[in-house]
Amino acid sequence: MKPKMREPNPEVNSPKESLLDDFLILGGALVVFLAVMYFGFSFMIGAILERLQPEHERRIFQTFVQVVPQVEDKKQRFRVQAVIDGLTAQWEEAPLAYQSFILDDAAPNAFAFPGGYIGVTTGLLDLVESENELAFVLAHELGHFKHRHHIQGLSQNLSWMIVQAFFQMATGGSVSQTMVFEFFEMFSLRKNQRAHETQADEFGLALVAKRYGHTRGSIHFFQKMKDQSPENLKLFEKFASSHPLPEERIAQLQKWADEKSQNGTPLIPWPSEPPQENQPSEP
Amino acid sequence: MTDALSSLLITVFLFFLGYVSGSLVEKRHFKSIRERELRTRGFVVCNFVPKNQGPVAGSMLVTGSVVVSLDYFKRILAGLRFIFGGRVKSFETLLDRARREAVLRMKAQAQKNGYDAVINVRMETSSIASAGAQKGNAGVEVLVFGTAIRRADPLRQEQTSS
Repeated sequence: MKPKMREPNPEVNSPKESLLDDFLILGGALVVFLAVMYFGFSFMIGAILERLQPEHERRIFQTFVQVVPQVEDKKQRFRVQAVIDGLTAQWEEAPLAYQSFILDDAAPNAFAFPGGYIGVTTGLLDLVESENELAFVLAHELGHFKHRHHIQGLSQNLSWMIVQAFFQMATGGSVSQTMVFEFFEMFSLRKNQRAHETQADEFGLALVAKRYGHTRGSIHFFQKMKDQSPENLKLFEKFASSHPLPEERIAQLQKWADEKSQNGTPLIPWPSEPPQENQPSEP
Repeated sequence: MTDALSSLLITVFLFFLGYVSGSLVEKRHFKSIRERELRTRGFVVCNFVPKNQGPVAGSMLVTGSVVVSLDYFKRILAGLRFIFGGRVKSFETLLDRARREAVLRMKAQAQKNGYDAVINVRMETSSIASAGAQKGNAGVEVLVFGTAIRRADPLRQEQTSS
């Protein structure tokens, strides 16, 4: 017998619902969840770290800094330390004796580590042409200590790591590299970081002015960074970078410097001879 | 900085490529499936052995196999579903396509060899693990198999001509 024929209608197993809607709802929920988790952890860790006395902070983070691979160039380190000491002498309420060490990295950069340590890369020391130029970079890092950005940065980084670790565990790593993370990091974390950089710049400039009596040379470092930065990435960097654009910083520094109008004084050549007294202790 | 930019651009590119190409391919595939299902709707496929089907002139094992994988967009969507739970819609359509395509391939094999029906049909699914650095599944295989039979009764002529 011939079977009765009907139109096949098997569409019940492939629903016609929009996957894009699904994505927007789930993605939105995830962003909200991540944000709550991140800010929650950030607040908790920050609250704990804020209560740390500077001496305790140094004791805790000393061990971490010791394991960071450093360049054993004592002469260079003494020079850097001398600049830091000269700057901190002008900062009356400095809570710690800040110490420096040199990192082997060709990229010109400096870092403020918790515990009162300032890491300077070999790339930066090769790039600077005057003590004033270096002094501003170091004073900027001292500005981070002054505003306790290193503590805030640490709590943010820690909570960011917790959120990412949670995410890796929850999804088995299937979504970790997606836009959610990239966008969240770029447009949330970095904006805050850029504000910190500007605060540190302001403090750094004031400290340099106090130490040297002028602020000349302060913008030289950023002028060099500006020349290195590719033109076509400017717009992206403006939003995605952890630091403000060099030209923005130059403009801001010049504005502040003009307000203080202490320019016109000669610069001290770099490298200078290491001072005999006032040598730093081992970090 | 350029690393972050390139990784972002690659992600965005893969995401939209996955969405656009995945949607287009799916649409075309469903169209083709519907057409072939309509064309072969008279061909009997069942998952049991009919009791009184009459004498059988010949039989053969026929199979239809399809391997499917997710596009980038669906992978992300599925990843989100693994957190929040609920129906993984992006998998549903994909597996539906795979099942129907496998049945159609099995039918095609039987018809090509001159059989009238496929009886005692079974369906198997197995995941194929990725050999690459990325964890997870590379794809899913849907295998449909059954016994193709050729009837010995006079009705056969009428059946095959339809």
